Amino acid sequence: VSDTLPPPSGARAEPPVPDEALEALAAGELPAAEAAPLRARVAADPALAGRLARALLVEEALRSLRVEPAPQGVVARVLLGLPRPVPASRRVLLGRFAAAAASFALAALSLAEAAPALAAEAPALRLAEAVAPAAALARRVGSPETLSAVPDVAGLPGAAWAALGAALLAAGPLLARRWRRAPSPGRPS
Amino acid sequence: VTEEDEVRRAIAGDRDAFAALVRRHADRVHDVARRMLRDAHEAEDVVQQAFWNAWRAMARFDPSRPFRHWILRIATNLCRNRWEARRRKPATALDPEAEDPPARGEAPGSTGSDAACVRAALETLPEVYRLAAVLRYVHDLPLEAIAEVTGEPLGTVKVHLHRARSLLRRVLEAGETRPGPGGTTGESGAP
Repeated sequence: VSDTLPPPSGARAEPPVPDEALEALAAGELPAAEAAPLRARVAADPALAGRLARALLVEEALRSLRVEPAPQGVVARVLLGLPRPVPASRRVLLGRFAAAAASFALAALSLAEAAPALAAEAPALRLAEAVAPAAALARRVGSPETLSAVPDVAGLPGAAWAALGAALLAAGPLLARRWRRAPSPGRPS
Repeated sequence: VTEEDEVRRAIAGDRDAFAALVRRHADRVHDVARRMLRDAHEAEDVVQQAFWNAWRAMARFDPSRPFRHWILRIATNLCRNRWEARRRKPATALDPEAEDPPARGEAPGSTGSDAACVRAALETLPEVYRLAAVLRYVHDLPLEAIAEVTGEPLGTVKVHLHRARSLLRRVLEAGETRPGPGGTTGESGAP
């Protein structure tokens, strides 16, 4: 490749032109400040001009490709299977439910932190871990020791409250999905 | 009715507005999926799933962004999931889910000007390079938009495009249809 050959005597050595630069020039992606000197070099170097011509051929070939239409019926199938939207009122309701469930669980955990001396119901906590992914959150918030020391509130062991809150958190998304599937009056199917 | 109007109404839950968006973009989404997966049936599945996912997530869509980029990104991610699934499940000669053979109007020749040759050559590229080339040349997306669709940095997009062009040039010049370095997941589908 001539752009890697030694320059004529007296001329300043110029760095070789990488393929990326020629491709970018062919694609029109090179900034004007870089394109102009590169064009000058190409004009003075037949080998560079040949490389640019090949890059232009690939560019032209690629630009000849067109978006092909989707087969008939694809749009109809998409629209036929479109899930029903969740009405805004239900979305608000679901948001409130999730917020309430989260608050409930966090309140139970706060109780655990506040009264570490009281006895706990470890089996209930294990149940929470088994049924509720939110128990992972509980583990992050409080250590197992503090969680197992939740006080009794309203006749229920504190850990049971924590388990209930975690279960509510876990059940929220399931209920949301069920709501979403429910028929919505006034909406076309 | 402009696309912006349709997007706003679809965000508000207007099914008809979303249907208009589906009609507007289905060809493009199908084209990308078809070229990426080289399987017409899988491409249709991706189109359906992409629009369904978009519909479910419309409330979270930022209307100041182009819907086209967003739906193409969803479709691209679905295609990637299918690539991964294919990698985990080697195809057999009788596998009904094997890819369609690459399009071959005629063998890629030295002229490289025939669209069928280019299409066939494009299908021999490794997936990531093919995706960049398809988005750039078939869908005429600027580099920044390709980065947005693929979720890759701009520099990576440029590298992928450069490699795609280099491989294509070699394939077109040599008249080869073999996959380039790096391979594709769909080699089993090629003869």
